[in-house]
Amino acid sequence: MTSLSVLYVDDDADIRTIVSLALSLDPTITLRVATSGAEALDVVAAGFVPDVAVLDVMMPGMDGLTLLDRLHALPVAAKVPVIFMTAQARQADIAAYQARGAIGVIVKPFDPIRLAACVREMLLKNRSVPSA
Amino acid sequence: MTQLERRSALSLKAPSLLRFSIVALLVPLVLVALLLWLRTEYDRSEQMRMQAAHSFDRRVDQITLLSRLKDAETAQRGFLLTGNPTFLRPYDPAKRAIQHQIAQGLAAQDGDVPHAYWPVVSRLAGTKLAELDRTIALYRAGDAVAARGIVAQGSGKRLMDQLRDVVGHMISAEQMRSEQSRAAYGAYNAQLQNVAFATVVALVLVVLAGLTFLWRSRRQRHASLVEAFEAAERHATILDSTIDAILILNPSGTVETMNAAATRMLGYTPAELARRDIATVIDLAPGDGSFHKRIGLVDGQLRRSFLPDQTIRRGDGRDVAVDVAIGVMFVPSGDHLVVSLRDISERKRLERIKDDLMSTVSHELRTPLTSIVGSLGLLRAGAAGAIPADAGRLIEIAENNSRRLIRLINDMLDIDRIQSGKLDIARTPANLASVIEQACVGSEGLAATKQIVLNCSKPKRPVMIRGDADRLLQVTTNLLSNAIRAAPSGSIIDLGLTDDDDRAVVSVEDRGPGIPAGFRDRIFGRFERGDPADGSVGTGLGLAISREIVTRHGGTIWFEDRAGGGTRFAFAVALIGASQPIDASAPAVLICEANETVAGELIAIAAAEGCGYELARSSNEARAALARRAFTVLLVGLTLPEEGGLAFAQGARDGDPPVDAPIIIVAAASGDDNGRSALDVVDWIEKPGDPARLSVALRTALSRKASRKPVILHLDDDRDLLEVVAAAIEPEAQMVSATDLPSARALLQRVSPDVAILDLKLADGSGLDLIPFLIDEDGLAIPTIIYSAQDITSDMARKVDAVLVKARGSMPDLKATIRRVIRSRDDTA
Repeated sequence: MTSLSVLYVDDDADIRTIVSLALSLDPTITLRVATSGAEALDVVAAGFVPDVAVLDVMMPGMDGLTLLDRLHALPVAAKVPVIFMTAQARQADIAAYQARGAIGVIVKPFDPIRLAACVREMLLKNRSVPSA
Repeated sequence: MTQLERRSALSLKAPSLLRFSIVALLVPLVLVALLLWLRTEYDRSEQMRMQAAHSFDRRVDQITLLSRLKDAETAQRGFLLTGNPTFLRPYDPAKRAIQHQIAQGLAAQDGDVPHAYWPVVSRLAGTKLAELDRTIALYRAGDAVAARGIVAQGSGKRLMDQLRDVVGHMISAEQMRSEQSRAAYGAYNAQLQNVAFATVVALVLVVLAGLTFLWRSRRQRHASLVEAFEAAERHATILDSTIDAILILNPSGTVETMNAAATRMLGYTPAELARRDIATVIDLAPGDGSFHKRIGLVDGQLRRSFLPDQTIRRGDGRDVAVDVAIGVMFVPSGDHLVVSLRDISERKRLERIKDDLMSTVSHELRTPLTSIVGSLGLLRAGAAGAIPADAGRLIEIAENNSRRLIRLINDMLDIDRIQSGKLDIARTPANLASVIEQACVGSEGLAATKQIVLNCSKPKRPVMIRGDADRLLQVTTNLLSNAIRAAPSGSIIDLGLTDDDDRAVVSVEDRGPGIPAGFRDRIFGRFERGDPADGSVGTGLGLAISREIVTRHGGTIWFEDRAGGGTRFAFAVALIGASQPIDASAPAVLICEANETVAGELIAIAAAEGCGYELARSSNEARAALARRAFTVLLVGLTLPEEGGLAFAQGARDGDPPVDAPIIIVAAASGDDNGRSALDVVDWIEKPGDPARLSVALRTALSRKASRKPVILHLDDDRDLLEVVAAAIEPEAQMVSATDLPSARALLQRVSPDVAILDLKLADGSGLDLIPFLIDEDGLAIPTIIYSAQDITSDMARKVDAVLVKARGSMPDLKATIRRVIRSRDDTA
């Protein structure tokens, strides 16, 4: 399995812990966790360009959608695939997130045991879609 | 009576100009005729009166005649007695007057009784006058004695007496006639007076009738005015006191009237909006054509009479959300529309508040639950180290209940979406077989907790429906979890999928105690819960949601007792067909794939692209399909049984007729694609599990223009051969033939062939003479095949694309050569 660097951003400390634990089940994953959008941008600016960014949508200050735009506005992270993690997952919401450029949506509550696999599947699917 | 019928009835009551004109003409005509008749009758009575008057004159004349005769006789007697000539002075005038009167009397004879006397009077008077003349003449001659002697004889007296007698009769007769005339006149006059009286009475009656009619009509008109006023006032008051904005639009879609609420809601006064198009405030009927056509009013029926969630533009520029109800008003001046607008801003606001609340609830409840479930899941999986068995059991209980809480939240959110009509159901092709497989795999964990075996049976082929796979998975999972709750530990649950002609049925059969009689009617209701054997309970919403989801798919959901105990829950949805009937307007895709999963994916993609499709599981099936009909695109699995995908594709290209549709090769794995360059395939897919990639490939293939039939010019002086070649080649190409060079050159003026077939030996030269003229629109040489009985030199052969010798080359050779030449031309292009 290829190694994967993941940037995970969530304001909820408990869920951060769970996601960290869940992703740590996959030893090939390098995880950086940020507690806010601003911190995530700092992490990227400091040189950590992840293979994929997993973002919570509803965060105080900068929400996930704004963070996606800001992230993609950075030249180094312009092509970083983004997966949203949200409890708000009506079909219309999911479609809207994808329209904004997300490659996938993980619905809370998620299965922590399958989380890493789920992220990998979304990345794989994304890579196989030819860019228009 | 419908509004339309009432309008027709009203139009029948409209005053008729024709009838009115007839009456208006008839009355004066009758009056004029009556007057004319009266005038005639009056003339007649006047005539009778005149007749009576003439009768009197005539009697006077008769008395005068007698008196003149006496005057003449008196003059004669005086003269004879005295000899004094002065006595004779009145004699001559009397005599002339008598003669004149008698002449008149004779001339006026008309056969009446009085007139019949005139000849007698004339004769007697003549005799009398003659005797008088004779006596006077005798006296003048000096014979007074003779004269007197004549007188004394008394003949004169007798004549006078006779005359008196006759005239007396005449007078009597005249008098009688006069009396008769007077009596007739009197009678006639009386009759005339009666008629005149009757006429006057009739006229008076007519006038009275007219006046009565006028009065009644005026009274009626007033009553109608009062009624109309009352109705108008009533409706105006209703209109103005209603809370909804109401506008009445004339047939051209402009505002005719509006109520007070409309003024408030739209921010326009009635005067500002009068005769302006309704589009000023709301675009009810976009598009072209008449207003009625645009709004969908056909034959008095509106296509849509309720338009929810519309937006109006107020006069001040603000937008207001409204629901619009439209009614049709069939009035004599045309079909008017009544548009009522209900302000739903408040409802929208409340909906937004509720949505926000729901969103908050879902977020705020799910976020801690995510932590709980996640933590428990990680603990259970040993992420934090080994867990003792008892603690593991406790963790499992906590995790299960947390998941139940999540289900409850999800179900409540779904119920809310159902209630607010916001339950989104996708309408994409989906393979139910994979749905139930997922449901089975997903429920295995729950089943394992009760040592229940899930027995899943389904067709190997894809079972395609149009709908929302996620939602149908939800339904199936719900049925399975209900069954697991109801089933005794260690039992078997059957999950089945069957399909018949037009529908797919998913069923879940448990071997539980069955549904209690009292619960059967309520089972699909909200918050209705059974009493499962194991004491676990669901949310009571699952079946209500399932029913809604299935209903929204146009399907049905039901339950029945399972033979041998337990319950069978099932739902059915319409199939789009494992082989979707190919409709003429849609592109047809031939899917050649034996692997069920790959075939399912390919079918789903073909259906999603709006194509009809047919599935062939082997090269033989595929060939049979190709023989039946033409396809727009072929999706060919590399590992197609019998021949293999590549060999089949190659065979199809070289077949008779050849397949020129784009071919997409679907390879199960990357590897040898050597066949690709040799084959005209438009794409080579190495990951059949990637729908997006497949969609792109299919769309590309579909967008490739269907190749048109090539045009082939055949020049040969042998007409029979021309016909034979044309008959053989026509199915694949359009043939134009010429028997000599001039006509071939003339043909080239009109058509630009894709290939030319030339005979060398012609009556007027050689087919090679045409080569300089075989130039297409782009200035390129048109591929040429020599088809001749003559052998040709290598120099000649270099000038053309192929050479076939008639004696050696059979017809299939010629066809294959044409195909090869066309293909190499296309490749060059």
